[in-house]
Amino acid sequence: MKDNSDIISTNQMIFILALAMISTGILRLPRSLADVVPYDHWIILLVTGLVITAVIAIHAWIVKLRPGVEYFEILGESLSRPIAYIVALAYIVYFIGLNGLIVRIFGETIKVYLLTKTPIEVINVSLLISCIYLSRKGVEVLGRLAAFLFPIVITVSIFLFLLSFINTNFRNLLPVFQITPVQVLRGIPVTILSFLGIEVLLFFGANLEKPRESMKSTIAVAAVALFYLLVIVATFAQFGPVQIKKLVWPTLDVFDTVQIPGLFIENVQVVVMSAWVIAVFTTIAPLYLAGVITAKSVTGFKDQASLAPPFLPFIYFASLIPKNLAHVYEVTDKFTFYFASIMVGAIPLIVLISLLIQARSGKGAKGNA
Amino acid sequence: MSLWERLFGKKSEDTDTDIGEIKVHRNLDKNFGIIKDMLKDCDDVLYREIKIGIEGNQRAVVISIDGMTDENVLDNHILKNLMINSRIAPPDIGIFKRQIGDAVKDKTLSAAEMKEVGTIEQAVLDILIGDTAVILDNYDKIIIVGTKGWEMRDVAEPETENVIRGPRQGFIETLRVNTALIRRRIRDHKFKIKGYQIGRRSQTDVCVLYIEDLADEDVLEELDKRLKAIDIDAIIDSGYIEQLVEDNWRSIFPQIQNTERPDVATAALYEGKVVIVVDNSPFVLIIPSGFNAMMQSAEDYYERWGIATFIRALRYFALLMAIYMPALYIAVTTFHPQMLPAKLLISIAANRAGVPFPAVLEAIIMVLTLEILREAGIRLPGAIGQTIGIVGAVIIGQAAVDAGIVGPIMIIIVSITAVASFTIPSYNLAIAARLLRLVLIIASGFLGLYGVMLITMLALVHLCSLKSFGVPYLTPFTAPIGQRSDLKDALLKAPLLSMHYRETTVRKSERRRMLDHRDENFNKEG
Repeated sequence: MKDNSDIISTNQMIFILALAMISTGILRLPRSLADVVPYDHWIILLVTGLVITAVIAIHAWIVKLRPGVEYFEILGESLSRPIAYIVALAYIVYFIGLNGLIVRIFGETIKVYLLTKTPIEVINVSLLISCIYLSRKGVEVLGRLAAFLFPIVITVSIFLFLLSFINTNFRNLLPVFQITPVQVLRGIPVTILSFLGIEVLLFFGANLEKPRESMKSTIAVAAVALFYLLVIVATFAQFGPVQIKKLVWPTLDVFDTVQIPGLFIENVQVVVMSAWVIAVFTTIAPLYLAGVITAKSVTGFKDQASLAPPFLPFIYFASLIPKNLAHVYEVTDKFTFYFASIMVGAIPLIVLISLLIQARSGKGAKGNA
Repeated sequence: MSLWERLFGKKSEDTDTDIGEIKVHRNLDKNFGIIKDMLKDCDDVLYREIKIGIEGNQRAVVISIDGMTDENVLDNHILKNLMINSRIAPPDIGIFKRQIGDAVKDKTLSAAEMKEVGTIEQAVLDILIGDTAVILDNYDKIIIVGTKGWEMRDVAEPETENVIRGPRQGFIETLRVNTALIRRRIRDHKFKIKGYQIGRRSQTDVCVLYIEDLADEDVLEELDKRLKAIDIDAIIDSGYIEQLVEDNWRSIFPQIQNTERPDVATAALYEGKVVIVVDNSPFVLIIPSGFNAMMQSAEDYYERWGIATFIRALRYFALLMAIYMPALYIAVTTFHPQMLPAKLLISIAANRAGVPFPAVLEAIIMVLTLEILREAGIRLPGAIGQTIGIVGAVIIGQAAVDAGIVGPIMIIIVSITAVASFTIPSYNLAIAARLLRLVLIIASGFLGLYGVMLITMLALVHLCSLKSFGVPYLTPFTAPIGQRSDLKDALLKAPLLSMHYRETTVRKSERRRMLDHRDENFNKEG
């Protein structure tokens, strides 16, 4: 029977990617952008969207060139075996680190908005335990989960942001087209964090039903970029660039301003926080799963289920490294700028070039013979 | 077609070879002795020793079970023919001596269902099923005459799955009647009924029903494999088969739909699903079936689509209420009072002022009381059961509020929740929802809204991981975009005229259900 074959369709892949991108980055995206320039944030966003599209195209290309082959095998093929082990270990560390940071930020928001008296450890560990459950189930289940949740999360969030337009001042978005190319370049790194998560394509690519269609994954980036555009317009129109600089999580604060007279629930925080938990869960779970899959191919272990729990303590300790919320964002920025750009951008690029050269020389060899 | 041969071709050969090792002897007394020995102390077995032929020199024994045979057939078509009619119109004596079996079988016994068996064990099994065995002297086969007939319940309106509009027939405990109820609705030779006998001692008849060119071959093959793998002493009810063939026995969610209604089973067959009918059970099983099927009621298809859509949406809303309401109330009042409007908050606080327990405990007390009342109502005989419901709901609730143990709002919430959970058509899905509600109440008591969402995610992951015979449980909600046409029959119920295709879970070749032959201008004016 077709039981747990771990095959996902292209559609499900797009949903997984889109949900994996939307997470803690969105909270601070307006603030980070406001710190760089006071206007034209949407241009930065669109440019970053293009950059990320290029990056995901590299990933998709790799998947297309070696359909059905696990990323670790591809690494071994293109970079030689010993280096592949080192790079795979780096990926595991990367997933642990990224998950740790996301979990930490998530815990901080929950502590502020929902559970003021609950220790943050309880929040973090309980979230990670539920991720273990998903990691034991595998990619197929994740695909179905994403397909189920994506329409709900997107509809609800778009509705919420539209609600926030009731009392906004669109003059806050002016002036336009004032930005210089240098400012755009400075804005890109702070935006990248919001798009992290695309790298799971490399790790789930082997499970794609039709690897030929992997290029369609770029749709996910486009969809998310459009969604972020909505977020940015909503927050900046609401607060204006000056006020945003003083807010920790402007995206969440937008909803505090939503007041619908006559509604049973006075503020929409219940809905917002529910969507928020889903958004973070669907980011951490794929990253967690990708880490487990990498660990599985590195160790050659057959049983994926038993590899998932050992990740928990590492991620938990990673989440404890930053001292306070300000430090969290300092560490996150550095993490994104140095580590993530290497793991997500540079290494896949090298792998792709190596694969292409091999293909070229392979073809040449065939032609000669 | 090769698959069918592979699947069932060999099976039919198997049924030809009888079970057991003791071959039937030519000597009547030996056979009779063995059977009598096997059926020793079975006082409901009737033995009738008779003599056939003009001179009465051909001995025979007729064995049947009292109470499981149709006495009309036994008296008028077996005994009368053998003892009297064969004398009035005697066959040629030569043939009678040489081919006694054929003479009796083909020319004397006038019953419709008849076969010969070669082993004693098979004959005894057939006797125990309710057939009659005719043992002849000097003949190495035993003739089995179909005389099954016993007291059975009338076909009546089913107790569960009531509808306002729709057929009033329900399945009963006799397998043949049940298959006939379905056969009456499918006059197509492609509709197949495949029999199994499961249970070492009970030898319960289990029938697999499907429409040949609609049902998924993989599902049939898998079902065949799982049914054959069952090795248990007895099958009491279709619930046994359900638990033995379902995909995930750990889950609290039912993965196989059961129904008491022939129209529901028939509709499922036309959808390309497979139906399992088990003898002695009025509940038939439908596979594969997902969450969506269990949220549908037969009436949705008989009523106008607008009404059906509204009711179905209402049902999903009620399901969400039944699962979430108490948990959300606890979360908001205990952890996140800032989410409520000030006036409501004050009213709730005033209500809860005298209550000594935290909201979680309050909810658990009330929910458990309600579950106990519900269980008591089911176990008690009809009229008293209803009384218990009223006494419980009205008096205990009122008294609990007066005594200050629970707040009135909690009573309201728990009662709405209870009423909402009655709208779920599938009883076993409703139980799963109740269990989930209890888990959510506890989670919200610890972690508030965050706990509720966490359990929701876990439940969703679990639901996404479930499959019923290869079909994902949450289809069509998790289906790829191209296959979301099934959503027409999920949250909504699209007009019948627009549902041209079967569910996407059936084989692609036979997707089309309906063609539109109406005149182009039909309905244009309105």
